[in-house]
Amino acid sequence: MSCDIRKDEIQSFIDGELPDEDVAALREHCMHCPDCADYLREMLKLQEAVQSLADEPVPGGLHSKIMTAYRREKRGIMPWLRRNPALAAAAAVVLLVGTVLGASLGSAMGGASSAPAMELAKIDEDSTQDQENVMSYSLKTTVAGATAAGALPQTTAAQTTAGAVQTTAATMAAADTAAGVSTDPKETGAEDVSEELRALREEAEKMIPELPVTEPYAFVSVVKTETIPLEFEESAMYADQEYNNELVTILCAIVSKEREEEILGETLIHSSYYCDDPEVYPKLTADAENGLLIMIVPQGA
Amino acid sequence: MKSVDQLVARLQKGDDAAFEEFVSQYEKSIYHLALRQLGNTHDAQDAAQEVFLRVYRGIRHFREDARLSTWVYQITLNVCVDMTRKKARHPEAALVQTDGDGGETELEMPDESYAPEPLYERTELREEIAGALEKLSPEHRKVVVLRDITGLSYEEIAGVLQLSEGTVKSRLFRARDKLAAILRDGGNKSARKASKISNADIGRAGR
Repeated sequence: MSCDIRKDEIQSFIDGELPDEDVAALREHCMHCPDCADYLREMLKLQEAVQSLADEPVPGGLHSKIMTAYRREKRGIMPWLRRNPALAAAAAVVLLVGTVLGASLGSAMGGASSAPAMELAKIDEDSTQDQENVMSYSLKTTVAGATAAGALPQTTAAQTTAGAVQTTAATMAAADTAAGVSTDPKETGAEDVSEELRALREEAEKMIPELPVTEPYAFVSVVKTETIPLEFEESAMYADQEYNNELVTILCAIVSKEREEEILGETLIHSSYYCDDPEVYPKLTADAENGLLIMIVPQGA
Repeated sequence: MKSVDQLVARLQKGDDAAFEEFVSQYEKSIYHLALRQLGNTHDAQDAAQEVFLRVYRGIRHFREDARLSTWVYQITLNVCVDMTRKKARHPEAALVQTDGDGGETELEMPDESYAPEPLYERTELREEIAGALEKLSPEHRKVVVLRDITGLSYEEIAGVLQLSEGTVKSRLFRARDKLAAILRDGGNKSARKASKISNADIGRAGR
């Protein structure tokens, strides 16, 4: 009865969290109450036993493994692409698209051939590894509230990425001209952006090859002037909500941060398992503003 | 400027020495937190590595008014959840054995890179308590580990788990009572299955 309250106090005490003024009273009580004295002993022993698990030494090679991984990460060009061949294939398209969007028509064609081509070559190597696992799936897309589903053609990753370079550039150039879109993000109005992004989405739908089922979600963000791939854990931030027992992702055009949250809200996806509070867990989505968020839906979702 | 703020600033600049300092400072606590969540040294090492990479990638977005340790431990728990989910989707990656009571224990694969130092004894009590911890629900296990292994205060635990301090306390106290009960009952049940089995016994290569 009253000793139940004492039990809480005893636990607080062993954690050093019992207010000083209550410690003396607790000690006094334990001297006269054998149950509480036993409980205190038991809890202390338990705590000690758990704490002793931390005495186990860290494996010898861990520190150097970490530093090696760090150095590799630092050196690599978007190494997360190499680790995730699934993402690599999708990102290949998006990379180029992003570059074209942001550059003027003239330099887009020229500029697109050098740097992205190098990266695409790397991506090709990695993505062919997963060809056995390639499956077809359909994309659910949402642009400004409209939803469409598209089936993807069965193509090999290698073919698609190579093809993506030429076609996307041409299409994007055409889309840019047609929309008369300014490449300065500040000047572009919401309507122009959605027109352009709609075209982009359509192209992306045709081009993103099937992803291996081992990667439940892929997530790349294209920002108007720069391509910023979202890190894997950033994508987990959104795709965590399991929907019909499959991780669901959507292809959508993001005009603004608020719109992004609105769209994600519509699809019942929310970042419940990563902390929302920016005080505690800084949001890593600043780069997704005014860009295209591409998410992939596994088949059957 | 606090030393933590200085460290963060240096990390944000991509300072290699700062990163190495950061690794040295946190690798033990991250490893042990992961070890309790994942149950084997191989996975715990992989997890630790992934945590540091995520910190590296995300540090430029880190807000100065947030607490670094809270963020780091949250990432650690998240990495563990990710790894557990991956394993759940590909069960061949995990070896699970059912014991007589219908519960499941994951077998621990011997880790070649791990050689226990002579001063640390894997005593029976330690084996018992490690096993008892694994029997707790994830919510209970987290609070106990964060308190007694990571050494966080109630306030810090509340920050990591996004709970009120009151909830942290009640969970922790209940968790400890459960642990005590598991240990008390442990003597009455049949001996736990061996926690290590060699590759040869299983007849397949390790992960």
